[in-house]
Amino acid sequence: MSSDTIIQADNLSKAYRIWTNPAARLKSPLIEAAACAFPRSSTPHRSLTARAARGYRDFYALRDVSLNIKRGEAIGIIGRNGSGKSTLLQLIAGTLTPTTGTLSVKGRVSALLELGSGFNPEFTGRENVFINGAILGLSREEMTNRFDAIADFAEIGDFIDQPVKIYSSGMMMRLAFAVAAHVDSDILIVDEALSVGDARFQLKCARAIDRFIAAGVTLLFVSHDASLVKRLCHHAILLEHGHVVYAGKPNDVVNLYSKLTIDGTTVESLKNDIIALKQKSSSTPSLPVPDTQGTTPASQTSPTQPKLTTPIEPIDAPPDEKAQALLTDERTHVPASGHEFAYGGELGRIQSVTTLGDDAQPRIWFNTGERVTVRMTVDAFEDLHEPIFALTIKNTAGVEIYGTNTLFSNQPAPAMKIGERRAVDFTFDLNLMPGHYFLSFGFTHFVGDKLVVLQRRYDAIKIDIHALDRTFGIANLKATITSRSISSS
Amino acid sequence: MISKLTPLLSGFARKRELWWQFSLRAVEMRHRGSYLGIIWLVLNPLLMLALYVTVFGFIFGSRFRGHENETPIDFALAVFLGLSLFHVLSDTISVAPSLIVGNPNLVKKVVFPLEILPLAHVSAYWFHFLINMGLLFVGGLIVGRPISLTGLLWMPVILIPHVLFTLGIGWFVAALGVFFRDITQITQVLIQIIFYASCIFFSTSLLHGVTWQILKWNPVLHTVELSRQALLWNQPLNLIHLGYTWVAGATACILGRWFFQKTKHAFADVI
Repeated sequence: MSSDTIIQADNLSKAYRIWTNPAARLKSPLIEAAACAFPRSSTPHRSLTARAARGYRDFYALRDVSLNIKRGEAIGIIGRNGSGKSTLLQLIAGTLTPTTGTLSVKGRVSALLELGSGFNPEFTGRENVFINGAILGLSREEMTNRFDAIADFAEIGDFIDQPVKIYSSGMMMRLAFAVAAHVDSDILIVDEALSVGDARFQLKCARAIDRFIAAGVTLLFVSHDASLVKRLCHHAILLEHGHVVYAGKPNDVVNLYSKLTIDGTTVESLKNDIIALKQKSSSTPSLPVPDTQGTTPASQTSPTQPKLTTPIEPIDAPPDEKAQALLTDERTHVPASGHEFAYGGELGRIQSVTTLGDDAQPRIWFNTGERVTVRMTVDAFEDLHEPIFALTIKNTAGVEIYGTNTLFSNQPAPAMKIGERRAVDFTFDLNLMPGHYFLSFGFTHFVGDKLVVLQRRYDAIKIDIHALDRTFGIANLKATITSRSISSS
Repeated sequence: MISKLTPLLSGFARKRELWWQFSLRAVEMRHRGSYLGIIWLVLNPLLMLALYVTVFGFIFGSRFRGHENETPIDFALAVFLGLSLFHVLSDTISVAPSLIVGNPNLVKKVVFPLEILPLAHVSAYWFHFLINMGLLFVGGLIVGRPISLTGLLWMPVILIPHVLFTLGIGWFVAALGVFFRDITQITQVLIQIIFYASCIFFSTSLLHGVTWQILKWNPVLHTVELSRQALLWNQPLNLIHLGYTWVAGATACILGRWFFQKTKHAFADVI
């Protein structure tokens, strides 16, 4: 077991004995123990063993699973209901003991196995925070130091002093996640818990998870949200009937999973796909496969990834360093919350931001595909030779859906005089699928080669996009579908 | 990082912290949401005392004959002491079966040292007992029957076996309750049996023959009698009886703990 391996499982199996009744749970082992008092092949031994076996039947929730997870990895675990995901997580969390096989877990595990697990409904949120901390091994002083940060993160206000039993599921999840986010765990286990939060909180959690991964926390993540798995995880594991069907790149695993969820598909019918995937990955072992779906979340924070430079290559107008500086700046100041986060405003200010629908009325909801205008009014408090106006659209998982500015799109804005107010319109077809999105604004300029940020407003507006039909996905490509007969009968 | 260097100490510190938090809650749970709140901590035993004095002291006119000229007040104080000791055990027995079953989250969802649960509740009952002792002390002063200070020095020696006994019973019944849900039916009867077998309303000197031969094995009976002798009656203590309570208490504690630890890995399977 190498030093940076944090979870090592060898041939892990978990059999649930389905006991005919709770008393059998106690009786059968006793009878088995009694059976051992007799020689192995004797009649009493056999009859007693048979009697003990009547008290239960075995159901294997997990069979021969081997894993090797390294420190700082984010692993997505995908599978249908009853495929053994939760059992695997519970084994790693230590609440279940494996039937056979060995499991070694290093470090503090913080598990969000279910909503408000470990919360006592009779006690207040505050008391539960301390109890939860104590369960995870933190002293009262340590928890007292973190309490304000936890309450702040959870954003449940005065409810913190109300009994947990009156909490909504969203509040419970907020508090549970807030505690898990502040106990310095080495391994964080998240079992579909994130799905109950609202859009802002989901974004906040996604940001927090990004920070954990950056800080070297190992993440085990179970979700049916394939795009979230693809965004957050380095690797993914597909479980079916307690077996690992395939482990590899999140994109491949998610694809296999979508295939598996189609009625009538069995693991057998995936065999060819898996063989193909294995060949693909073995033929290009060292090359990072170019991946447009963001399967490598580290690339968002690490400047060494080639992905960052690719979008700006077609631009020839500004020198490369300039563009790089602008892009890096756009991407490094990621807010940790879904609340607006603004800075700057001394030399120039984003006075207001509005979104207008195709009826030219200010609105924050739109139909998918609607032609919208995003307007910001800016004030210049000094002469700006090269002002740059920027807009970024993110979804609730924090993925940048689209980002543009006057420089990258080769639509340079004329210089601004001191005291000038200007309205900047971004007009485009909102070809995004239904959901919540956040708009961020930037107002910058170059002084020579140096990028100066006048003002940035992150997540300043949240917009809702409504559906017009039942198409699905991320982008609304507005496909026209025609059919015509091509047979010549 | 310190926690990794000193796993033993931190393990203990963590359990102590949990024990403390859960004990506080167990004390609070009883009165949470009631109008009088913690006043019940004192009011409840006082009402209990008043009831038994009326029924047994005045209506039945029972006496222990621990003193030369025993009054209903003396009788009441003695009953109160015995009842307080009995209630630590009876509360433990009646609550223990539901302790584990009633906290499935702690069994299945988090890694939790479950032995803390019975421990915390037994601690809470002993806290109630200490309040009763305070009442006994004050009450004794008020009615002119101060408790014996020499006896008070003996109390730790008399009480520790009972602490061990209640702990052992708590662990055992809590673990058993997971597997046999109908145990609550038995415990109710058991509590009644212990009540009458512990000489709370009469002196052990009334027991003769077969009754004594059977009941003398009840460690609670000895704890009750020894406490009364030490605190209220200034009588010499029977050291053999005292020694027996130590043996019984230690055995119960060790066996109860052993049974709990043996079975606790199976809790998650049946809850």
